[in-house]
Amino acid sequence: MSSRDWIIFVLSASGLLALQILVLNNLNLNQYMYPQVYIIALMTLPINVKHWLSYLIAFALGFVVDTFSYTPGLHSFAAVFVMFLRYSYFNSFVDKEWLSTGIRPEFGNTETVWLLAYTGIFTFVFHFVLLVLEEFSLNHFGSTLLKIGYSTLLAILLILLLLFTTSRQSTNDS
Amino acid sequence: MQSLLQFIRRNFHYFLFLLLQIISLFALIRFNRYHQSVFFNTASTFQGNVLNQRKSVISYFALKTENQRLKEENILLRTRGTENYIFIDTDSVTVKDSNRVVQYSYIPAKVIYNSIRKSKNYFTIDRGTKHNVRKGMGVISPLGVAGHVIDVTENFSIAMSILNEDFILTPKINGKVRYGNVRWDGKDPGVVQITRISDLYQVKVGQEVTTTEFGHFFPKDIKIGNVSSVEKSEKGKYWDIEVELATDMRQLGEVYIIKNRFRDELEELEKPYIDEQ
Repeated sequence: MSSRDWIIFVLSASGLLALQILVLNNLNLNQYMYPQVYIIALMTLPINVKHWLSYLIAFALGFVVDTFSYTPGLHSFAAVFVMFLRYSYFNSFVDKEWLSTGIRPEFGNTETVWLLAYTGIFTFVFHFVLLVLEEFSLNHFGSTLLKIGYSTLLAILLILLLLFTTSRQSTNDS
Repeated sequence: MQSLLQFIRRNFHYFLFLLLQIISLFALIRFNRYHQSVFFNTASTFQGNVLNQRKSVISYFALKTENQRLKEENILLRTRGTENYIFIDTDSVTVKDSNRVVQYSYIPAKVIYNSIRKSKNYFTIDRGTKHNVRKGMGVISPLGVAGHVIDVTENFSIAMSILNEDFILTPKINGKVRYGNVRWDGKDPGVVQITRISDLYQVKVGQEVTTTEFGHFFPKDIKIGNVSSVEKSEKGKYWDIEVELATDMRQLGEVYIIKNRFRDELEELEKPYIDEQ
């Protein structure tokens, strides 16, 4: 990533964190909806970004959200975990040539079907780890699953919406 | 050595990943009170039996002091019994108070794990939901206040110790309710502090500090300790009071868990009027 990319990344990540912390965390739609949208910043990191760097970025973003929601360790654990899976997937199942292009998983850059599946799985895994860890007990697993389901669906919708609007803008810009 | 370094370098990201996960988990369990209590509780369920065995051996060595304590308690209870009082006024009519019901009952229990070294201390008790223990019940030793239950499993429960910075009580000093906070400053496990008591009240060394019914953890007049020092607060207008605990938290053994029959009802009623702290 060039330094321009880094500046854009820092700005967009800050924007997403602000959206998450100031708006989404205070929505209280109902007890099952707890969508985490700031993970777009992690999802859309270039596919060839250094894995150790992606863990550190994930930890840092998680740390910020944790600090503002009084849940030390919770988001940082889930974020680092999901980045580890992302790396494992890219490392084992993806064509090396495609990987070396270093594109970002966004609309227009990748196949739409692949992007939808990628977004879905990434978002689900993150919410699964986050909410199971938050519950920290298997006593009410049914309601935890409901929470995971609703939160994931809502998060996917919001994420796709954001990805879609930003990709439109960037194509307009260029 | 060379190959070891190479191995570490090649797998650096795995180590980093594990390190970050361990840091997160540590933070999660160390700094989130809910996760902490679940963690210790699960751990205590596993360790419970081992600790129980250990305690049953160790309690033999403490039998003598424990007996002494029980004797003191017995004497106290006996002096409270009605047989100690005679009615001098033979003309008076005895009223059968059938409109009174027992509000507090006691569940005897043993402490199987206890900490006093941290700033937030907890202890584990060998009674759980099976024995009708619920969250929010007060715990006392034969000599005075010890803590209150914050988490329960089937056979065990965890109580927040009075030696925990998050534990707050409203005190009675010398029999009168004083709106201040009894709270431990995390230093001497034999001494707790009372803050925000107006200096308009007279407080003297040696006066008895007891509980109020506020908070519904304890019945009124359970002993907390005796005033051991009184000083003017630096903020003016207030006393800084130190109280020597009646309960020796270092030797916590036999305890009673206090069941308040009306706790749920009272909390339900008060909920809309009391801001969540």
